[in-house]
Amino acid sequence: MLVTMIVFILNAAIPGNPGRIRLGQRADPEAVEAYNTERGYNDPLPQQYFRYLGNLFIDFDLGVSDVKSGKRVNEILGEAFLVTLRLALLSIVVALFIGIGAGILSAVRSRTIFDYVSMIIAIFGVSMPVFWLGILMIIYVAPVLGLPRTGFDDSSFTSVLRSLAMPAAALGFLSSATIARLSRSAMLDVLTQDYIRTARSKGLSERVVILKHSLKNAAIPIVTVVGNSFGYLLVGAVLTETVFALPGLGREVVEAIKTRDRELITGGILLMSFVFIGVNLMVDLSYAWFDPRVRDDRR
Amino acid sequence: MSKITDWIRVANGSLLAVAICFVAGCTGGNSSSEIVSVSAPSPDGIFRVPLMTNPPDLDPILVSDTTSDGVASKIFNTLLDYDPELQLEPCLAESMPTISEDGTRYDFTIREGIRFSNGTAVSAADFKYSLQRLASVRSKRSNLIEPIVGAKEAIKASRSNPEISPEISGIEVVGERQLRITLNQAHAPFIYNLAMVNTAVVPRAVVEEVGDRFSRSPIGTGPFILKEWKEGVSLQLQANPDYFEGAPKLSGIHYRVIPEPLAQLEEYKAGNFDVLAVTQGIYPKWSKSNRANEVKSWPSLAVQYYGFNLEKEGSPYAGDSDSARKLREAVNLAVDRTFLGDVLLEGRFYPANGILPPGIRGHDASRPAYSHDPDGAKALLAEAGFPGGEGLKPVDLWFNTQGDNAKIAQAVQQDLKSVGIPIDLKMLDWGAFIEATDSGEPPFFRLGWVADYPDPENFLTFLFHSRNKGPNGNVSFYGDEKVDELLDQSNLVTDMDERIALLQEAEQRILTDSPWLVLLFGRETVLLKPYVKNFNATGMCDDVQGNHVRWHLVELDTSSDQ
Repeated sequence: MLVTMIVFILNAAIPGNPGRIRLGQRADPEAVEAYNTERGYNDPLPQQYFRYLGNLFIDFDLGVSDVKSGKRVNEILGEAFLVTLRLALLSIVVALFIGIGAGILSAVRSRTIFDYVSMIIAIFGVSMPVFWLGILMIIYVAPVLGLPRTGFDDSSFTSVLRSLAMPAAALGFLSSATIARLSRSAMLDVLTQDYIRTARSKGLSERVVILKHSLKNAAIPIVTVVGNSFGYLLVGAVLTETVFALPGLGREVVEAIKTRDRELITGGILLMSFVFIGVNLMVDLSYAWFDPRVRDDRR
Repeated sequence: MSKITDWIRVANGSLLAVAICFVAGCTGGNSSSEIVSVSAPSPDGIFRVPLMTNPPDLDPILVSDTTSDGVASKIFNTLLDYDPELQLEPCLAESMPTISEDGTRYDFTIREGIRFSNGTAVSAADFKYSLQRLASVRSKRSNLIEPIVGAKEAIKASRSNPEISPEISGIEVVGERQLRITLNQAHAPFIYNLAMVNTAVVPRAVVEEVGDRFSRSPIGTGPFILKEWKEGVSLQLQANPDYFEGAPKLSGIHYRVIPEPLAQLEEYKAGNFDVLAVTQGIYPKWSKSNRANEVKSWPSLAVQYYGFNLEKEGSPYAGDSDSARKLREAVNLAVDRTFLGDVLLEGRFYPANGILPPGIRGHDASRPAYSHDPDGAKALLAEAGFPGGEGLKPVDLWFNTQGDNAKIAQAVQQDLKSVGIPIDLKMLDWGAFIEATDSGEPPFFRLGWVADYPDPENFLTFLFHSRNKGPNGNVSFYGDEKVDELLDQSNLVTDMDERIALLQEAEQRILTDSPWLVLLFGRETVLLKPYVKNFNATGMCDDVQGNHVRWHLVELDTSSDQ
């Protein structure tokens, strides 16, 4: 409710007449006015708002796009979200694999060449703009690996994987940098704890000490960052989607803002907010699994 | 301390490695004139085209952007079309129309045997229906039919009640293949409207059955048929084997939506596209390379300008006083257009010599282009009462975020500053910008105009007639009775030479008043693979999509040695 209200107010406040943008520079003012009237944009804002809420809560209908004639916002966002969800999932797998791996290695082999190299790479990852990395990958990596440079082909599972490999690698690499740095510092904290020394003195193998005793205890800050990263990947991958020509949610909403496609803007931001809140909720709930003391504190 | 030293050593080593990689990457082992680009046509005869954006709509009455126009023009046909010299010629009409002596009645005969791609025959009634649809409230180009008897009333009725089907008495079905269009009064440019994709014929039964979805599943009579459309990803057109001019030589056209120009270029170089729009950085490199033969260009029927709002209160450039006019002339002399065209825009644009670009009838090639004359500008500034710019308050130059607008504005600002004319810059996104210019808010603003049809009326009446002040197009709020009279008179005259003389006189009068800082004319430039044959662009909205190219003749020559 709050999100829809804020978006409605912002939509009304943004300069730019939707009829004018829709009908083009050469449309006469009467046509623009008639268009706005037909679409209900000349109605008082509260009336527009409650009509929108009615459609949303009764029919789960987000309306019809202003720009893409005949297409419902539900349909547009559904298609776009599916692309972004797959991209985000693949990216987070890449990010976890590289980030946690590099973080553990850096912590365990602290102040060795492994540590220095992985942290320098992490600094590059944090600093590098995704569009630049994306372009470099299109030019230098895709031809070598025989992957498509751009575009999205959902004709089969393999083609989806091939289409998403490059953008997921680019996004995942950048997210992995933050995860690696955080994993390293969290692991370093845990590795100096008494119970780790106790575990080692009991004769447990280094693998068990690191993966079972250290990693799980270092997980809460890592999960928080991973959750946030996943949320951002779901709603904020617009640059990656643009460079790699993926028809994802971020690109769709940015295009909608440019063309003042009000129904699509509102629906898109609503969906993004819902997704972001949902991901954060899941992250919060997962704390209890990683650290039972969180659950116990509530009793 | 030793740890810090270690860190510094590692960091230095890494930076050196990155620098070496970067330099190696930049040179790529090739000299600047060597471009590696795959040149092999698609084996299945598909022409592959990149698009920056997804076309919003393919229903002819909704088309208002060049992307949609480019796709729709391959699916639909109009009564008339252009030949490569931009002369009107019959398309679905059997011949050019018979026009009554008073210029108000157009009689067309539709070609025999024309069919929509779903197999149904095209009749004059389909044309009547298609033209009447333009009056509906959803139509973006209802102005195209306004000169027709009864059209204004139908448009008005449709706007007050969107549910009604507009009926226009001036469009008559005289026989199975005979169509008559009657205008309220002679309006010479009207005939061009019948070559615009918005007036293309559509199948009534299909439109009425699918409604709004027609825009996403269009059916026409054109050389290609929409096979698949993945929004934001790709469109596939397949050849229409029953096309009335003969089956296309291509088996289809495949569009892919790639918003990022650099990514498009890499795909072109990899041989995944047959054509590419030339954007910043491509032209200078490719035109001097081993691939120079792939650079193609033709005059663009467009003009770029900065307009003064002549009714803006408080602007020293507004009004028709001698001082204001001299100030506007000074601005015109102060700007180095050659630098803008040759350096900033890499030689793809050149100084304009008026409002009408080459290719538009009435373009005066003998008029010299605006020269860069800072001393003349300073003299005019002094004559206007602001010697050295003293006492001249700065105005905002408004422009939108697109393309090269910002850097052109910065260069203009510097040129003006050097003669003592202060301006500030204000950048907005397109939506906010166009709303502001419509309402007359900016005192000085950047716009351009691309021809809808190759007639001077399309520039002069729309942009300078006093009845069009404001959102109708005349956002400079220019008004001159004599110019209005010349423009109105030109619409009534059917003799082309006489019309052109009237319109040229109007252009000259407008230029004397300097309502614009006239900037640049340009050339449409693309990269085209050498095996593509018969891609003969006309300049009328022809970019990578070749909106008026004879697409049924375009072919991929697989036999030539590339």
